Amino acid sequence: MGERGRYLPECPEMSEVVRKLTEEYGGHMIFSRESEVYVEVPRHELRDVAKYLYNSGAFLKTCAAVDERPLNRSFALYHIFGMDSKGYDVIVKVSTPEDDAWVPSIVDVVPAADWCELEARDMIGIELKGRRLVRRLVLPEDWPEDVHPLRKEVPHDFRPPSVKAESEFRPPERGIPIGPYHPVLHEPEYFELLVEGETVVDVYYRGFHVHRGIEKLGESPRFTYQKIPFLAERICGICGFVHSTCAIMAMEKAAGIRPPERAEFIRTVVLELERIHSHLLWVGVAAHILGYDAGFMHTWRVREPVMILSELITGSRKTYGLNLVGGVRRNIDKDKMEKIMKILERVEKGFKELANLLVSVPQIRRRAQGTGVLTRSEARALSVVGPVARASGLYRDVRKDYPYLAYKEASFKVPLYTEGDNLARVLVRVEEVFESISIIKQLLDKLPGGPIMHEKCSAIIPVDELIPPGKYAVAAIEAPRGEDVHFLMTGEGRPYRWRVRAPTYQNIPALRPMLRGDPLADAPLTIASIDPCFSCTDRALVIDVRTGRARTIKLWDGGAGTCRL
Amino acid sequence: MYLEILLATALAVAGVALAPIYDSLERKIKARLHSRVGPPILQTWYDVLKLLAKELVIPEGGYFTAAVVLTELFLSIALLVSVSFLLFFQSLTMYVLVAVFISALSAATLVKSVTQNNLFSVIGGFREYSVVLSAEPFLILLVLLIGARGVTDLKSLIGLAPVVLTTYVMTARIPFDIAEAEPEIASGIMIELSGPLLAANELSLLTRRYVMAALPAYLFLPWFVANPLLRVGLGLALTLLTWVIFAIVAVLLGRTRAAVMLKGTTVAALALTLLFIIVESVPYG
Amino acid sequence: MSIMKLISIAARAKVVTRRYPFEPPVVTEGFRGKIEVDPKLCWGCGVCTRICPPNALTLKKREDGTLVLSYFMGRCIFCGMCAEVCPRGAITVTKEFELASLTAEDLVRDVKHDVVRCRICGRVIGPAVEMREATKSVGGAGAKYYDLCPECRKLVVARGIMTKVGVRP
Ligand code: SF4
Ligand code: SF4
Repeated sequence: MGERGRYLPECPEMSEVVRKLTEEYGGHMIFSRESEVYVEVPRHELRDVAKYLYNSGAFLKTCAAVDERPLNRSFALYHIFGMDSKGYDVIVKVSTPEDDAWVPSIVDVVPAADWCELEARDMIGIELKGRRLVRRLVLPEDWPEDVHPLRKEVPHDFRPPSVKAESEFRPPERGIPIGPYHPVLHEPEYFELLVEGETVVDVYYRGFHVHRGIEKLGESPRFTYQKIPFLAERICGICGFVHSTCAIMAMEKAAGIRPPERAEFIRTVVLELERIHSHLLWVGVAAHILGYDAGFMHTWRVREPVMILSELITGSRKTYGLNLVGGVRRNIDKDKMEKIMKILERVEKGFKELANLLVSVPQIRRRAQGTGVLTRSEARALSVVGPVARASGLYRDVRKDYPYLAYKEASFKVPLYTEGDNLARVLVRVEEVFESISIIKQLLDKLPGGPIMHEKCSAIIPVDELIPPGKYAVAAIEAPRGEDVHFLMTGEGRPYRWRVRAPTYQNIPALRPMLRGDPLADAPLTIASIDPCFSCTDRALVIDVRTGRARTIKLWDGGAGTCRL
Repeated sequence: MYLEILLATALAVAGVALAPIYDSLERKIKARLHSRVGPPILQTWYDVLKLLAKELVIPEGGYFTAAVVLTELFLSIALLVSVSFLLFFQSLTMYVLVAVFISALSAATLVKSVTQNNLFSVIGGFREYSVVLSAEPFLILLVLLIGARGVTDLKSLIGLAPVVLTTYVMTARIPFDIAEAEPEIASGIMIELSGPLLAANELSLLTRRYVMAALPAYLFLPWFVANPLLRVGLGLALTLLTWVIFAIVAVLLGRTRAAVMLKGTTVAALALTLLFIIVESVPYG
Repeated sequence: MSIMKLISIAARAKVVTRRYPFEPPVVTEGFRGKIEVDPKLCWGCGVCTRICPPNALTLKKREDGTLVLSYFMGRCIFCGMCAEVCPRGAITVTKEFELASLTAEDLVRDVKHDVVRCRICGRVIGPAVEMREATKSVGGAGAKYYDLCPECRKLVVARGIMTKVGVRP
């Protein structure tokens, strides 16, 4: 993939990091690629390594635990640090012997590690040393203690015996429940808001009601590399193409192949179409939440041609089924190109008018401005991503930081606001719609000729042989909601471990600082302002019941799975 | 005399029947402004009839809530009847009666919301309380003022302004529908209601909206139009017109936050009411 | 007031929704709906069942000696991969998507295939059409043995040779 020199062919900083990790922290390099370097460090050094990387500007993308017992009788935890400003990832591996399975926690050094560490504990069964609050995140309360679903001996279709556990949900004092079913939450999730009068003073969250075990399924014999793009696409109903492309990018990296240029352009065009439809959908929903249904309906009216366009190009309004390892299945011909241009013209004009109208509605402006504020430092500590980060003055965009596919070929702005409030998040998304339209136009103008599928791949040829076992790959894409990360460790004919970290996973913890001190009436808007996608997030949540304060609420009385944001 | 009683009764009956139709019309107008096809003109009646056919589920809060819901329906019909009589009988007693019913109806709505053993409903109740407080006192004051003094002159039509403002607020349309606020508090005051009770609730809300659309016309018409049949015709027409205007306004606005807009509404209602009083008390010439 | 612009926007946009299902839905030429398997073309080779991501296509052996290619629309994700890989071009992707039904059985389409059994040992060798067609293309001597399973065929062939060279098996 380095042929075109897109990925820092010789990067002095990268070698400096490797030198530091190997010489000062006793690690050894496992493997490296243009934009990734994998280093294993002794587990007692992990905290210092994390501190060093975090202080040198890295964002923690996520961590992934792997059951490596069949390979080397140990468990492993991979922390994926992204050097945004330099454009490469440092993946730090720590191993732990199976009979003494623990790793040091790095939560106090890197707050963003909170969820993924707990997920590692739930799914693989690695204990976390030095962590004050350890609780179940993903697994439900009645899940058997000693079954960790991502361990290799657990079959993918394992169902625990059903237990009728009476939840001891008798909180001494009640907050305002939002969920699991609530009109603004389009998926089951649970928020509990503690209010004084109409002011929110605290927030509790419980999620993972729709965990579908997709990662496990991807490792199971049910799936092959050929089928996984279709499975990945179903992680999310809105940004499915992001997931399928991201999974495929990881697989292609592992296979060492690069799809033809034209295929990369087409993927990029469809990714941007997806961003337009997603942002328009979100703007509409935000208007609805603020009681301005006219804005809702008209935004969706403007959005509809984008959906029709997606169907025309890919065959489906959503879950396009366009991607295969090695390329795409459908071409964009002259006729389609003209249609795209024409429709985008209309969308641009229509949305410009609407956006002006929306911000002129007094209730919208008044309620979005100054509510749900997330400061820049909070945003940094929690490693938030996407429009949420960019509305809080954090310049993060995978398209710029780690240019992938055809993004190098288009010039575009990354809208940045510093207010960190709901209005800023609205405006970031509104502006991004126009940027995306411009990106698509530029790319279609330059659309290179040639095939759309790598010569070694097709629907009929199994790609298994191309992807040897024992390879690693990390791929990231700027989804409409922010950075989406897929970590892949290859196995025989299918992934050995496939970890998906959706953008919402990173952004939900930011809701707590956003919601506190705001009017209850604006809480739904604030929750919606991160554009939460629970299906994505729930492939895995949070903790700590506050103690010693009069206003404490205990859900399930300190039981598993209770979350504090 | 008998003709008037007959006409007033007919008006009231027509009001109950028309309210859901006007609601469908409102939905149609809204749909058109949303660029949608929208429902047929009898849709709200279909909805109500369908709800009536469902099983009766007694809400959290028990029979008491159910009783209050029905009381509310009766009160709203009583209000409609008394307002209809206002078109023909201008004794102060009639005006007092209207004021009392308006007030009783609001009280019933509040009781309804707090008897439902549900947090969202209680929040809705408090919000309803603040909405009512920002408009109702002025509306009652205006009704009583007009009843006590009569509307004597064209310049008194200035009183239409506070009446229209307060009646709009009392219809619980956007931006004042915060007591339901579907996306925020999941239908708030109605959250526990379903089936026939929801139908009753719907009917009383619509009847109340009809009254509020009729009030501006019914308060001022009798003082300017002598012919009772003409009064009826104009009354019906102006009610429809007001309803349509209210419907359009509701589409153009978003939902307010309880504290923000209500203060503004109170100030505006107060100022307009005072203006009316001043204009009224200035002697002729 | 700028909020009044809504009225002009709505006036220009006109009514965009449809009275579906009383009016036809909007379906573009690119749309993929349910698939149809042509029983005349299908061989029952099962290639499509191996590519189908959600296992909507399955190949089942029935007790009565038939082989069934079963398509369950309830699982189908309308990806069209099966049509792309079918060596016989037996699968067409239609534009039909209105598949709601009261019973799950309505969503199943079966293509039955007779199977060829080995005339000696009686084991199932494969779907009849595929065997026949394959033999046709091979032609000649192969056709003689098409209804023999590989083991029996080896035996028969060996025996034939031995007889020819005059060795008693
Ligand atoms: S449809 Fe095609 S691929 Fe599937 S069994 Fe029939 S012939 Fe084989
Ligand atoms: S269209 Fe896709 S999901 Fe449906 S049967 Fe064919 S391969 Fe399977």
